[in-house]
Amino acid sequence: MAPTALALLVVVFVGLIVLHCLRLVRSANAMATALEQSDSRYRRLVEQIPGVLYVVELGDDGPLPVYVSPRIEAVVGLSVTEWMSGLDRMLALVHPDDRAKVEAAVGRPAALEFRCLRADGEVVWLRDSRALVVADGDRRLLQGLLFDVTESKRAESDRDRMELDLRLAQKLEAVGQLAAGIAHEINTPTQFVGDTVRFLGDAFGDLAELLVAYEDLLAAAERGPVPSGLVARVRAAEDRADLDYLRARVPGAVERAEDGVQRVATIVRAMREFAHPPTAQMAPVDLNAALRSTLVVASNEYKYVADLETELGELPPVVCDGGDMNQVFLNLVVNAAHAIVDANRATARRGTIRVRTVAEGDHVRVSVSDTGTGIAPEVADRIYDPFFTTKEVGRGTGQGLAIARQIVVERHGGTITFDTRAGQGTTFHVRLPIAGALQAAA
Amino acid sequence: MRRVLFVDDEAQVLDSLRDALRPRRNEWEMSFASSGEDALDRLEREVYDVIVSDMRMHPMDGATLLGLVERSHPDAVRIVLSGSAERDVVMRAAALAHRFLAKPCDVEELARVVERSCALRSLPASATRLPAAPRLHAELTALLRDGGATPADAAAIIERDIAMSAKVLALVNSAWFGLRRRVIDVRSAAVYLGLTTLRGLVLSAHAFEGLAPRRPIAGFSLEAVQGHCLRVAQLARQLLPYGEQRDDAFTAALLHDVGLLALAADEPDYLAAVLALASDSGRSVVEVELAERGVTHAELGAHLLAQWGLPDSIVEAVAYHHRPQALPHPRMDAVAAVAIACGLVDGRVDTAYLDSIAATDRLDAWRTLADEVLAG
Repeated sequence: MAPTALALLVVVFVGLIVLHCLRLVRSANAMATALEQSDSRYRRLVEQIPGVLYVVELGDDGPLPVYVSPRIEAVVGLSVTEWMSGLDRMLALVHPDDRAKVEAAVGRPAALEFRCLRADGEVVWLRDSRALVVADGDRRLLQGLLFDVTESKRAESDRDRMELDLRLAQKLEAVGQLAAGIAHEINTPTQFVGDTVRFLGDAFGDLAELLVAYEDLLAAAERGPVPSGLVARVRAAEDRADLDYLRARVPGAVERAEDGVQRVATIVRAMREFAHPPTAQMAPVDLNAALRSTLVVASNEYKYVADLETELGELPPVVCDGGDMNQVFLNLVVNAAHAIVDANRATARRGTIRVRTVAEGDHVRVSVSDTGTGIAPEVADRIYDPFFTTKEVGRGTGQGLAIARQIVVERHGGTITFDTRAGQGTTFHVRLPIAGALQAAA
Repeated sequence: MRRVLFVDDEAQVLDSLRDALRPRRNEWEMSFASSGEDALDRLEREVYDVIVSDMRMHPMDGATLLGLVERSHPDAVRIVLSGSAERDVVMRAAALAHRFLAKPCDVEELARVVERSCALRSLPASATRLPAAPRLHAELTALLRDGGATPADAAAIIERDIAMSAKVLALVNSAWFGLRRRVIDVRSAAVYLGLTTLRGLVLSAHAFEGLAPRRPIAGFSLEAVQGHCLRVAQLARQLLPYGEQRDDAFTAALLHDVGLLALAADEPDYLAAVLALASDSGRSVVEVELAERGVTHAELGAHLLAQWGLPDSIVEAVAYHHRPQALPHPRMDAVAAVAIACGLVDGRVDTAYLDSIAATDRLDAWRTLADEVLAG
């Protein structure tokens, strides 16, 4: 082989190597560029998520911040550097009421919602969901996503509030209709207590004058024989004071005044018990007591048209919203009274409203019966529809039974049913789980 | 001795009235009935001057009872003493009873109202023939009695009479009314003014139309009387705070000279003579009337309005508009407002009377109001 040929071969070989090396270098550069590109693409992607992505390493000394997307600043008002300086910075912003819940979940995979005090003073609701990932062999990382859910939280509470408002509005409407009746119930005892007190005041004035005559008589008796003229004067004073009448009537008047004050107190107490607002609070309630106060508040609605018969059996405390149940009972009693008025319009006869309670296993049943018109079959499946009413304008807006059904069935996990016979009357049965809706569902 | 029957289904109300009114036992003979049926029984056996009844009773309610009493004992004073102040109940009672009192009502007030209603019935009568109430008025009254009347119902009745609708609207929109906006239909007028005031307007329009003299009377001008009534009405209303008294004063003032109209229609010669005597002698019309017959157009108007079924609060304001001091228990009410407004419009003031109702210190303010009304 000629030396030139060898040299040529070497040159070609070296050239190939160089070329290859050059290609290698170029492709390494391309790879680096590609890597760089993909990294910035992910970064853009991460930064475009309408939430905060973060990574925390679970080391032996507790969780350590690894990464947070810059949106953290917009969501909670912390800069990336501040967040990276330690998880305590974030924890300090959590609403005090939610802090325990958040602290308990530190360093664990979890999904939770909590309130945060943003740097600008605004309270924001955050939803935080995180998962455990294992990377680089034994590095344990927690990857999480934080979303600002303030808006949807607000909508949710608006919805709750609207539902509450609707129940409250119907209750106020019912109370408004009752108000005139209650005024009547209070005005009547106020009238006779006022008159009675005036009578007692007058009576004392008359008696005080008579006492003067008696004192004169006593003084004369102490001095010696009583002159007959003085006795006659005392007798005349007794006549003037109307003594026999006072003796006969004063005890009854005192009793009447006490009775009247008692009547007003009973109404006011029942009114207060009845009107306590729906709170969304479930607590053990004595349903018989609730019924009794509702029947006092509504008495003006039925007492001119119906006799009331109550048969309140022994009931355990029932977990429910007392204010709500009062509203249900009121609607049923007022409906019963109206049905009786309609049935007896021509005859002016009195009807009967029967209210019964009974414990049945893990439920209680409250039944309200009337001797009214009954429910016509063609409307029977519409009576729980909102705004459905057979009453004339001003007597009902068709919310009563719709609200009653919502309260009993949806809020309390109970049932509301009725038996009816045309021309004979209707009985509504409300059944409630003694333990409340949640336990009953479990 | 006044014979007064109290009706209430609450025994305790009757017992307390019996006790509290005991000091009146020498002036009043009182009976107590525990139901409408019981009251009717007693009315068959005894004569009563006054019935004081509750409204909500069972089975016969107060409205039914008073309706029957009105027919069987038209001379008895009917007073409602009711615990319910629902608008509907008040309106029905106002149309059926001479007076409406709301529980709780002080017995002194009750006694005052009874005395005043009885005094109104003992006013001297006159021989003047009184015209019947307009048909529309009867229909409106019936509507108020049935209960549940809405302004639309009342408007529907009035609107059937186109001439009356026009007159009512003309009155409502006249400067005297002082409304800030123009009322263009009877229904709005009914909503705006209330049914009782509207009924007063219908009566006023009817009176000035139906009682017009058939021939001219020297010294008498229908337009002048109507202008005077409207001025007094506008002023009387301003003398009282918002409320029923104020509406009563307005209606009474609109109608306070209805007695003059009745005279003009039925006895034009007598009226002409009275007016001539008054202008010749410099005495007031009332003084001449008293000298001639012992009765004035005020009592005549009151009789007419009582016969038409207006409540006593309006009737007595008309009856006493020239001599409010003659009324027992004076105070600042519809009677006083009409009398004072009438005096101010005519340029006379009874300071002794103002003293008796403790209103002397308000005279200057009232004079200013009167000047505004007269200038308007």
